[in-house]
Amino acid sequence: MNLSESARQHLLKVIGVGLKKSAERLSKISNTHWEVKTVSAQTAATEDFLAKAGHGPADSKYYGAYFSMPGWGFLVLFFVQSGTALAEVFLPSGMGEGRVNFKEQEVVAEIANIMVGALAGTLADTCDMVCILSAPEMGCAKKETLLKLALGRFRAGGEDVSIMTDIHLSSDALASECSLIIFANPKAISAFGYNEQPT
Amino acid sequence: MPSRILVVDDNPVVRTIIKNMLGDNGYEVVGEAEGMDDALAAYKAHRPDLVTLDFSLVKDNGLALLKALRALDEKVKVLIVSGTASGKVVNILKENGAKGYLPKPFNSAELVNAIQGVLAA
Repeated sequence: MNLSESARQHLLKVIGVGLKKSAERLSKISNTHWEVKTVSAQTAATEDFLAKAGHGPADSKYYGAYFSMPGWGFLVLFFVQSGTALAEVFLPSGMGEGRVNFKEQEVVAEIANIMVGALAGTLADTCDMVCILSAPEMGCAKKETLLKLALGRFRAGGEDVSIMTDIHLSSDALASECSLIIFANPKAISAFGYNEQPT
Repeated sequence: MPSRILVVDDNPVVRTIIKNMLGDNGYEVVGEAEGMDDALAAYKAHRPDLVTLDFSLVKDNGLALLKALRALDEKVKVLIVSGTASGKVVNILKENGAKGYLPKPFNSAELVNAIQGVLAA
């Protein structure tokens, strides 16, 4: 099934509004400027899209945080070094010994939660729906592995993928970047007031 | 006498950050909890002046916990501290007794300001 071009543009516009808030939150967390670099969207989970979104440096590991709300799945990916840099600035400097007691993954989970919360809230408010975002499910693995796991989680709930969006944000000052991949099913898309056009 | 606070969040990093911020600003943290069972037990044991609550909990439903706290004590003062920014959800939480909402991320001054607002309500 394909979205009409106007529906696709409308959806990307709403996502863009939410992403701006996500970038603002990342900027506040890290005291550096974050911005959205690229956004690509594709209807249905094709192998090409998965290969591109899951592409990363060979043998490099990423922190992955998967969230869901009815009709939507969100996967945040931080290159491990980026996660480390963010975790370092997230923890207040006065915490002393407390800093070393935390698992870095727990810190990255919270950062991802704050970031996705902004986007999820925008999507829910646009549709005038009550949607509570799930708590994050974390992993640390190759990008492709995390993407496949997240897509599996989304589909395990009986969800069809209507559209996948691959987004990259980065901070030059922090030398960090993250990817955000969004899945949405037909019902979620129709909540925006657009119905898919069957091919 | 310092105001007594119960901190509820399923992420230990966040609980520690909030506890440190509160301690630095003269509040007494009487307990911390990560889910419904320990939050209700801590509330019964300590009867804090205020509860900070992240409603997106791993194991439990934050709205259900808010309602359970109100059932325990209809005068409970709850400050919702959360990463989710849905206006509709915030309204529902306030309709169910939350006295304030503080979006994450926040700094120490923003936390204190939000707590003072709830305590004064």
